[in-house]
Amino acid sequence: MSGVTLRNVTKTFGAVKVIKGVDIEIGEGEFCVFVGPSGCGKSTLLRMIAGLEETTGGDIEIGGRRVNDLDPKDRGAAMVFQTYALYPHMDVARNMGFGLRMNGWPKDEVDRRVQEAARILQLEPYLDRKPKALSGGQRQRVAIGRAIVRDPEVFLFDEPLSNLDAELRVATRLEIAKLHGTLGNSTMVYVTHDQVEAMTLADKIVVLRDGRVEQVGPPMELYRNPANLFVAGFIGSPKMNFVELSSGAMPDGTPVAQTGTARTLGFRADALRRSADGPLAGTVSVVEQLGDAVFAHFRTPWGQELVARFDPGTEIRAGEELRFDIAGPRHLFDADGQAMDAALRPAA
Amino acid sequence: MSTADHDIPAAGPRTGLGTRLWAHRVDYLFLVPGLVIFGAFILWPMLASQYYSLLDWSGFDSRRIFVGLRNYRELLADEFFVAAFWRSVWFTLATVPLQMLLGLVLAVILNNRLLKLSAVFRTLIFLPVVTPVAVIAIVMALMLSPFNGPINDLITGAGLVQRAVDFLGSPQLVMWSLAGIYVWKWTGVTMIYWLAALQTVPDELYEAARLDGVTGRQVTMYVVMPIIAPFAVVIGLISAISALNVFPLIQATTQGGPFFASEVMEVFIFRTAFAPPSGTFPQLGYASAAGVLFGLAIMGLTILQVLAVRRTRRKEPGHG
Amino acid sequence: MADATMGRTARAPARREAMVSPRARRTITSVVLAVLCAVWVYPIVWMISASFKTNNEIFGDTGLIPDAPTVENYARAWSEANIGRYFFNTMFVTVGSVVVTVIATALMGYVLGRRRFPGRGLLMGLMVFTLFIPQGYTIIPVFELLTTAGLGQSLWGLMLATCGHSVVIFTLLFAGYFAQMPKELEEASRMDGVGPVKTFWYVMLPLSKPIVVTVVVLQTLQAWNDFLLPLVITLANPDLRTLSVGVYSFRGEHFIDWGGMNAASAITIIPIVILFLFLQRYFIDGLAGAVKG
Repeated sequence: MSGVTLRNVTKTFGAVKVIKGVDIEIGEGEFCVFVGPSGCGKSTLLRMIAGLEETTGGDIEIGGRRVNDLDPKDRGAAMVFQTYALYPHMDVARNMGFGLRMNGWPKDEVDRRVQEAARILQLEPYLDRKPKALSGGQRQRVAIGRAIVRDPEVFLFDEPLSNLDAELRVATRLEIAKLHGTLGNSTMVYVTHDQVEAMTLADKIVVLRDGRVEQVGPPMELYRNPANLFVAGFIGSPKMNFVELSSGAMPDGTPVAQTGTARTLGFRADALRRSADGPLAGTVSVVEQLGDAVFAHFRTPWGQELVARFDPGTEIRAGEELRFDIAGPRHLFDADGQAMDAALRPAA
Repeated sequence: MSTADHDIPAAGPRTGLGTRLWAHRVDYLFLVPGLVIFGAFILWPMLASQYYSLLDWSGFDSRRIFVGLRNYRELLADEFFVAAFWRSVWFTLATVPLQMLLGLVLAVILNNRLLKLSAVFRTLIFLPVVTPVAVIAIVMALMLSPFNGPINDLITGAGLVQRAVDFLGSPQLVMWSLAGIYVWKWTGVTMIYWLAALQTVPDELYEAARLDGVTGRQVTMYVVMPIIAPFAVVIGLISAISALNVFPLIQATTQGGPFFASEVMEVFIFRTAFAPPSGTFPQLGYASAAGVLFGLAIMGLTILQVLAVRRTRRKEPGHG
Repeated sequence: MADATMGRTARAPARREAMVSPRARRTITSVVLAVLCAVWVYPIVWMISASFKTNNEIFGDTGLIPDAPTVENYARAWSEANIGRYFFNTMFVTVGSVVVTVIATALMGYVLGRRRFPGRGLLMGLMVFTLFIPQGYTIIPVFELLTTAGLGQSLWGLMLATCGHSVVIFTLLFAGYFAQMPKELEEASRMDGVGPVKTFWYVMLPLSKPIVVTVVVLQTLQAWNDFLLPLVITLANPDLRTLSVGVYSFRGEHFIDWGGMNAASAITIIPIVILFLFLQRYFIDGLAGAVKG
């Protein structure tokens, strides 16, 4: 039993309420990602689980124990920081073993654990190097190693890839995913603002906005059935297209079937099909060739920029006039931005 | 997330003072050694001086008689005090500009990275700074001695003067000689200050100016000087304060003589408190009053300069 | 385009200087500086040279190389003038005050730089207010305090009081340095279950090495060169004199022994000059930091 449970958790800084009542259940061994725009409170929430920020209200439980009033070291959680937070004056081995040694662990045991972590992370050749002599990816692995040696119940990652360049970010992302497999049933809580990381790593995604949970669920569930406009716009790349509806018609008056009282119609770029008599028209402004796909950004008659996906090799030029059918899944949202009953959606 | 009180986050405004003090108990523990030293040797002496300055007190074992502001009244009428006060001011005005100018010229020359020996020159110029004043006093007494001292040998030999000059023994010359020694000893520090200021000038500026066909001298005058000008206030302040604290050099070299001709403020205080002329008593209260007036003058100077710094900083929004 | 034109017009007057190549100009500058530096350090070199000369030779000829080098001056200074004892006193005061000062100011600077504790503003204000207090202002109460504490006639008293000189500046140096360190280091160490004292000792203090070295060097210089305080404290007790005061008194007591005086002076400056030569980078960086900060 080493899951994490948050019950009606709140946090105020001075007079500002930054976490406004959050309930999350993270199962043992689950990889849970907190995602949201900057300032949504995701890092604060993680630091509250770690014990680096005090909790104003509610309960935080790790492995069934209420940890609100426990010191960080007694919570059974280890943290990997965005800036790595390696001790610059210690070599890799000392960095990883520092916490254990300071707490009076026998030297043999510390060495054994450091060796083990170094093996898992392929850091063995670098054990006697100082952090300065390592690449960004290696430093991040050392930071992860420092967490591993403590054999924690819960791993906490605070935007661990943000300081890496694009290529390393993908590579390290894969390693973290592998690590989760290697370490078996360790629970991991991971904070990021990058929805791609969230989609690729998570068993469970928690979308946060403005100190509140917007939606919790497995990645594909969030992708397919976003609970509201915010989640719909946040998850998925490129962003979902949104068109305002008024009494079942688009701004240029073209009616859209089966929309009921919906105020916003959402559809992803790959839901659009070229069709000579489709309801949606536009002038192509920019064409992005990605190799495995072609994205055409087009301007609707009412001046909105939307995006459509085409198969690779499709020839489209800027300035071209196109018409589309909305062939794929449609998402309907009411006046409050909440997703409307799935029954209104035609089967994809 | 990035709030200031990341250390003990409980310290919100609504938490009681007691709780906050308790939450920071380790911090206060850490402060103890520093606070003891600061309190015992800086803060308490400052306050005590003010009190002592109101006493008639002739020695550490003797009785203290409260006399109010009498010491201050007498000081202002004491020609030795007034002379010492103005001598300190004169000394500062005589040395600081020269020291700053000399230090600046040296710094600009030595800042040239292509000048291979600049580190060696820098070290040599800095050598007097690390030499204790007691040693400098002896060396200078020998160098400037009217009896076969090397300097006098040189200038009489070259026919510049008829008779040997008594640099440190003549009441007319002694302050000038001391000012010269002082500038020699401390220019190294001023030079380092200027070098630090010069390092804030980005390399690209020199390169851009060179590509524009501007000469080295023009770069220095029109590009570098305006950038480092704000530092002049800080460097001037530090230099002025240390010029006012010239006691060791003067006490060691001339002990305020000849005939009190080089008695600056701190020498006056030392003499009154610890080395009274034979047959008289130490006047600790009186000396304290002199110290307070001197301290006030220095604080006034500091405040003036701080205001000046604020002003120059405000003029250029890009800075600080 | 406009830039290029300006560059072309500006080149014309520059040709005047081109007669002397930059390399030649640097050589000329170097020669001028070398002469200046030779004059600059001449008094110190002369003093070292004189310390190997007999009293007769010192004023007899002005050459720097002694005719018959002798170390007799050193022997005389060391034993008769008690310079040996003063040397020990100075070492004690210097080393002791460096250790105490580094620990006290690093701890205080750490707390001031990183914690928002009640009373921080007041303490900072007091410290800045006293930053430029002259020694002449505080010497009487300091002496009285030491006397009251029974330390007025002891090296311990002198050592402790010597710590007071620059405690504010050093604390502010540390505070400034610690303030800009990332908070994650402390948080990582907190997550590791390392207490505040160990975190300070094993993480923060080693990381502030540049400031530690600067403070060590500046405080050494300060203690070694200190004059007013040791003079006052040792007025009644010559056995406690430091080298500075010892050399000063030497001159009063053996005013015709110029050779001995120079030898005593040389003994006084040699350790500090060696220290400076080894650590000059830190020394200069530390001073430079005082201006930039």
